Amino acid sequence: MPDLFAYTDGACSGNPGPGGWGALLIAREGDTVVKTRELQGGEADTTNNRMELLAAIAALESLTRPSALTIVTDSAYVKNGVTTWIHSWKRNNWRTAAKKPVKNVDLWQRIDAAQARHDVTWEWVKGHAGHPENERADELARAGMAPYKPSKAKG
Amino acid sequence: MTDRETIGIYSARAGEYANIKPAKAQEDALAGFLGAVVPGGHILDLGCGPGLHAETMQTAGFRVTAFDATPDFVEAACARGVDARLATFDDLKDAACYDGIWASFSLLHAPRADFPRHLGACHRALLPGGILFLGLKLGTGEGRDSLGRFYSYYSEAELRQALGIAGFSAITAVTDEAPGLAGNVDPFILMTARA
Repeated sequence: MPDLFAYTDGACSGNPGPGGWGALLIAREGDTVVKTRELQGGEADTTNNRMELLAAIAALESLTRPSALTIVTDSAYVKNGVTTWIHSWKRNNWRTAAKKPVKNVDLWQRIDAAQARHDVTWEWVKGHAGHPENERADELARAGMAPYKPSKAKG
Repeated sequence: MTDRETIGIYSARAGEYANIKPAKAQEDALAGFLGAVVPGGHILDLGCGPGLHAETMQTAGFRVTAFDATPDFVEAACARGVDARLATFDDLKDAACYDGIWASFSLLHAPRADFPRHLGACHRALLPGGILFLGLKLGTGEGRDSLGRFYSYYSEAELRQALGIAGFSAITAVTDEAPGLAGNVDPFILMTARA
């Protein structure tokens, strides 16, 4: 069985503003890449952190069969949210310990449902620090954002 | 060095702390800071607390990374949609990375002996011309407040000198006083400086 990795990243111009997400899925046998798949998408009016969440959601939802995988994100927001805070938010009916509503709850609920089908290990890497797969996920996110960026001024 | 007792107090009173309204002078300082940082730039909120200011920065179109050493505050900031992580001042190891650093009443919880090192780390982490904001309490020495939180106190002259040694220029300062979590009305100073 190859090991499955998903490298995810979000991009946003304006925050809120046009944004994109990208995911690079890689199946490896040892150090050998046996298969790769690239996903991307975007929205007209979003935030950086929503795109980071959506990148991971897209990777999880793209897997038709329950799988064991490692998701590598440069977002502490996603990694810590999904591995730590989400458990207490869920127990508290999607409110914080201080009874405040959780922002982006739609995406936290979606990532919670999406990861329930799989056996996910979450890893955080520093962004823009020379990890080639993270750089590629960043390129995909920017490409996903491109159609939503306002066209250049028309005179 | 991280003060466990201070973190414990903030954990126990995180909800209460989140409801303290920042003083008018602090709100003005945030507006001034956001006006000085490159529009849409990347800001580090160093000691973000429950993430109120970080959320304001994001709404104003900035990209925000936030650090706090109190887990309850990191949770509250994440719940506000802020990219916050559990980290101490010593975890600031970035180089030429941020357009602005907002250190609002956070570095006062570090020992005075560590302050020059932390200012150096801020200078290194900022892009050339990046803006540092510091909110601190005025006074002398170190000690615990009535709740048990550890504080370092500084004079304006000391701060100007320390910022200069760390490589900062264009230093501005506003002083005022306001009540905090312990209820005392303490004099404070709000400073900006350019890397």
